[in-house]
Amino acid sequence: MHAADPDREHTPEFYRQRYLELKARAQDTNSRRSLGLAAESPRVICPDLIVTQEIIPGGWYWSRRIARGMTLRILNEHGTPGVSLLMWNAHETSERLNPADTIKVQWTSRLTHGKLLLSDMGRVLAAITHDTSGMHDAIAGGSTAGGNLRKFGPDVRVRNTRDNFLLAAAKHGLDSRDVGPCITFFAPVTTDSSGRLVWQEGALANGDFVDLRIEMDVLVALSNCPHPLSPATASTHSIRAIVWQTPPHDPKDPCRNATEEAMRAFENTDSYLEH
Amino acid sequence: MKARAKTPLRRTEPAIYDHIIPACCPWSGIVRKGQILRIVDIEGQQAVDTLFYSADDFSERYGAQETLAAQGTAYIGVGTEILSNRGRSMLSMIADSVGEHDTSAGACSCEANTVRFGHHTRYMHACRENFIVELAKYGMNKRDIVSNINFFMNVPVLPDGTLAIVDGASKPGDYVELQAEMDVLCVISNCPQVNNPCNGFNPTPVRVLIWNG
Repeated sequence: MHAADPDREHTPEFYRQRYLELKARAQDTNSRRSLGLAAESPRVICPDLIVTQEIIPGGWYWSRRIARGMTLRILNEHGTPGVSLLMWNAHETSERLNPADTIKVQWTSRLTHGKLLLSDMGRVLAAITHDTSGMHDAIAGGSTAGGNLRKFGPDVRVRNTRDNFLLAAAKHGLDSRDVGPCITFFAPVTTDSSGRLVWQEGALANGDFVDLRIEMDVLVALSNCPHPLSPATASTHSIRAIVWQTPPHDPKDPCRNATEEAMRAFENTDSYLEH
Repeated sequence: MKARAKTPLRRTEPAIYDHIIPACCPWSGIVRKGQILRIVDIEGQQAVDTLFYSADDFSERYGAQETLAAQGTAYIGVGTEILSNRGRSMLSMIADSVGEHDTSAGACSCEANTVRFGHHTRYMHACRENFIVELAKYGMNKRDIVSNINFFMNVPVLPDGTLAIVDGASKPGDYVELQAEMDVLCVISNCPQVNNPCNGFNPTPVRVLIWNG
C-alpha cells in the first residue's frame, strides 16, 4: 500500500493500485478454496438438535423466524430444480438479503461452502457451512407468473416464486416493497463466454443439501418452484427445511476467517449485535 | 459481445429535456410512454446507476432478475426488454454505442464499501446515499431500492462464476437510448465510487436527454 506517501494518496493511481491488490488477493483465495474444504457441519444431524422440520410441497412456500445460532438446512431430497430464498433482519426488516452485494463483495457468483449471505447493510445474515451441490444462482432469480406463461403456455397452471414471496412476506406484515431479488439454491446456471445464461442439465442430485448458519435473527422465506431457466419438462417435488441448533462458533471458524471481506462483514455484524 | 446498434440514432429534432447531472449527484425524472431517454457518458468510463419505477404505482419497479431470466443473458444491451418485478415491459433499449452493461452487481453503499474496501471507506459518498435522498422526494425509502442497472459499468461474469468490476468500455460521448413502454420514474445516481474502476477512479458528469417518440 502507498498510504505513507502523501503525494500518491487519493489519486486515481492510488485507488487503482489498491483495488488491483484487493482483487488479486480475493481471486487467489477463491481459486484455492474451490479445491475443497472440509464441511463444517455434519451430514447427519443429531436428532436432539433439530428444532423443527417441514416438508414443503412442490410449488409451495414456507417462512419462519429463525434465531441466530440455528442452522437452516435445505434438503433437496428429490433433486427438484430450484429453491428460492429471501431473508430479512427480524428486528429491522428494511435490512434484507442483497444478492448483488453478496456476489460483488465476494468476487464470485458461485456461492458455496465458505461463502456468506450478505444484507444491504454490509452484515452477515447467514454463512454457508455445508453444501453438497455447489450449483446455486444469484443472478436470474425465481419464477414469475409471466415467465411461467411463456414457458408452459396458458393451459398449465403452476405456482410461482414471486407470488409465493408476496404471500410469505404478507404473513410477517411485509408487502411487495419488501420482496427484492432472491438467491435460488439447486439452480445450476452458469454464463458462457458470450454471456448467455446456461442451465447445466444433470448437475442436480437427489439428497443434495445446503446448510445456512444463521448469524443474525432473521425471517426466512423459501419458495419451492422450478428456476425460470430450468427445462419446462422439469417436474417439481417436495423439499425439506430443517432448523437445527448449531454448536457454538469455533474461534477459527473457516467462514469468518475465509477472506478479509468476510472478516470485515463479521466485524460489522458483531458490532451490530453488541447493542 | 451483444450486437451494437449499427447506425446510432442521431436525433436532429431538439430534445424536450436536456440536463447535465454533475459528478457524484443524483437525478430523477418521469419518462412518458413512447418517449426516448438518452444517457450520455460525457467523458467515458462513468457508471450510471439507474432504477425505474412505474409512474402510476411505485411498487412496480425494475426487476433485474426478471429481465435477465427472460432474455437468457447476463448483461443489458440493445434489444433488452427492461421488465418490472411483475414481468411487464417498462422500457426497450433501442440504441447503445458501448455493448454490454451490468445489472447484477448492484449499487455501492457506505456499508458495503466497509466490507469491500475497509472500514476507513465508510464516510465516502455512495450510490445508495444518492438513491435514498432522491427516492424520498417520492415518498419512498431504502426498502424501495432493488438491484439496478449500471449503465457503462463493465462486470464480466465468467463461466466459473468469477466476477469483478473491470475498466469501463465506454468512450467519451458514448450513450444508450431507451424507449419507455409505460410511464416510468427514472432515478439515477451518477456513481461517486473511487475505490474500484467503475468510474475510471475519477467520477465525471453525465447528460440525460428526453425526446418525444
